[in-house]
Amino acid sequence: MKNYFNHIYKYRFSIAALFFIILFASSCHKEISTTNQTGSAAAGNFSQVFEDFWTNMNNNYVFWSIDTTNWDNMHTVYAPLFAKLNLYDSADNEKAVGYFKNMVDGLSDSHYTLFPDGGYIQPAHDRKLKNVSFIENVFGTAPFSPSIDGHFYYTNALDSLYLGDKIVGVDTTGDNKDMYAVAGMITGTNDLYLSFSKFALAAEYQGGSAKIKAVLDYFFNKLNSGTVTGLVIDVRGNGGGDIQDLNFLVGSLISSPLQFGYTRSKSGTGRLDYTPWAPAIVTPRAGATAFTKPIVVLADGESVSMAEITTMALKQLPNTKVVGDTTWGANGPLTDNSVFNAGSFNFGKVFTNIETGNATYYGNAYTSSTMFKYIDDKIYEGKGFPPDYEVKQTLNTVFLRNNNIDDPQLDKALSLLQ
Amino acid sequence: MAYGSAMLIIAICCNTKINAQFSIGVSAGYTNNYLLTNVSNLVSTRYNALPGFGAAVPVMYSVTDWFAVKATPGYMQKNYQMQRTDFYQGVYQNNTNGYVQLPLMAHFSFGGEQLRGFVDAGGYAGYWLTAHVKGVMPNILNQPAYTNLTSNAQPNNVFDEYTPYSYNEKYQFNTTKDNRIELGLLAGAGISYQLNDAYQLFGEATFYNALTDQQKKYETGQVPRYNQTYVFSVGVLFNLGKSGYQ
Repeated sequence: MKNYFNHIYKYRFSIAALFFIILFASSCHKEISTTNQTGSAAAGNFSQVFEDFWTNMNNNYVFWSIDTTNWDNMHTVYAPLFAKLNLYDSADNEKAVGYFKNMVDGLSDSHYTLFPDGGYIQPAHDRKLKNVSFIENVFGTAPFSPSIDGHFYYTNALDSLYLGDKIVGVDTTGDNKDMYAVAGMITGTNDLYLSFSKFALAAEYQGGSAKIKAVLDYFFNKLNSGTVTGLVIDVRGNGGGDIQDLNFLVGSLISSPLQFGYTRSKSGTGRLDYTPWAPAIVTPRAGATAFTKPIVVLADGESVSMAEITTMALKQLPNTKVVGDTTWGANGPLTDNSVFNAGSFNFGKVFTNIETGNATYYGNAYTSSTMFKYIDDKIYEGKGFPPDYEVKQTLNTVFLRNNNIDDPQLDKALSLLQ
Repeated sequence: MAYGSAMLIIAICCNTKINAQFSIGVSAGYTNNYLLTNVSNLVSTRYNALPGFGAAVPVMYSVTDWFAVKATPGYMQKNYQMQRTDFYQGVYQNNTNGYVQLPLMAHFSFGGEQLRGFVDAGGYAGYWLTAHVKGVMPNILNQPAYTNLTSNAQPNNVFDEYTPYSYNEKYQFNTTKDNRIELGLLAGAGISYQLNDAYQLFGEATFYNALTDQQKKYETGQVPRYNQTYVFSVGVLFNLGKSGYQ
């Protein structure tokens, strides 16, 4: 034992020196900077608003792996420009909206909508409007506006032209005010047709408009009657909505789970931190039987989000064809930011009411929480889902000289059901 | 730092009787790794240490009876867990990461003929060889089957609102993001027991402290991630030869 301590004593300086070296070197980590939880950063000037926006985009945006926007470069370019602006100067605020627009102009996320103070920026829509064949441009010069919501498709004229037995419902009062739905049998056939302006079907069915519920009851009764020989589901001009409608509608056409793609979200703060891909599955409704007769989905450039997801899910069925035009290209589902620590966020907390605790933010970004990949391993975000049969709508084919209308996309759908 | 260590070793060698001896052996043990990073911006999220295992082939060149140069090439797991808390309890991801490493260290021993204590200090280079992820997360596009029943029940947990998705799969390295080369420092202490002229048993606790980020520098304002690993190992060394000179 004495020898033991003698050795330690003899080399005490060497041993101590070595451990000091190790301890010193171990403290050489780069400082790990403090980061703020989404929406918690106070902002008193434009530099802080910009930094909060840039960082939240960096952390919460889910499409960096496919996006071509150089986000680091945006920081380099715009940080000094925002530093010159005064948050309380109205002219500077207009400049800021312009800067924000330039920053987000090329983002892939086609849900993406930025609401800076007094502004509204939707890059995907802005890009589409530059295309003369974009359907809003085509119908923007229509001789009349027959639709209740600005879209051509939901017209009594169209219904009258194609549908014999039919039922139409409009929600005039509820949460989904102006939602339109129509179901009917194509004249002279046993083909069933369903169209609706947004995905709020389950909500309407359970406690919404009785008129919409009547349309859906008609649809399901016909579907289950055994007499239907073909089905047209028309999601043209449909802006999307509630995810539960996937199981409500598509789940009534299948008898076993249907996988049609995958979703993934963020797993960390880093721009490229992703969760694994989780399967996207439609679960059949209890007691549902598979609809094995031909199905045609009508979709177009104004079919957005759930309208596209529904189209893609139905396309996975062997008896489905898609007719119309390439969809909008906003496939990534959204939910509250905290679920995945990704997606929509507020930025630039400029004021907190000390009595209510309510915060006022400079702006808000509406963006997907997850990225969607179709079963073919392709990501259609920002591109849109292509139809099997492309049929372009033009004013000359839709608005006929006798002030009547025709629908070449529906004509093609019906030809496929023959 | 390297210069200082070298000078220390040279100084020891120049002032001490040389009694060189070469040994080789095997060791294996338990690892416990923690990922040093900052997740304060993520809601109800924390990182936890996870256990693993390691195995190595220690090679030791004894310069004197109390000083040796040691290398322990081998395989080591540096695992960690991302865990959601509060409303998101049940969401987690276990990361199982396999590294091949070459630690090189100075080995100082002290004590009696058979039972001796020792301390190690040095550095290491590693390569992130394999990665596997296992966990549970909400699946946004796999809703429960629709029923006509409406419910006013309040959700107590995220999985009252979302179907859980369990996964257990190989992690696909991202060449833009993942830095698979790791450099760091180590320090350890242990005891050895000389069974006979040929064999020596030892047990050791070692701390591996990565100095390099687990990610490449691919974004502005990047939050770094460092592995910090404790290893508790046991092993045996076989003396291959012995020569004494001054």
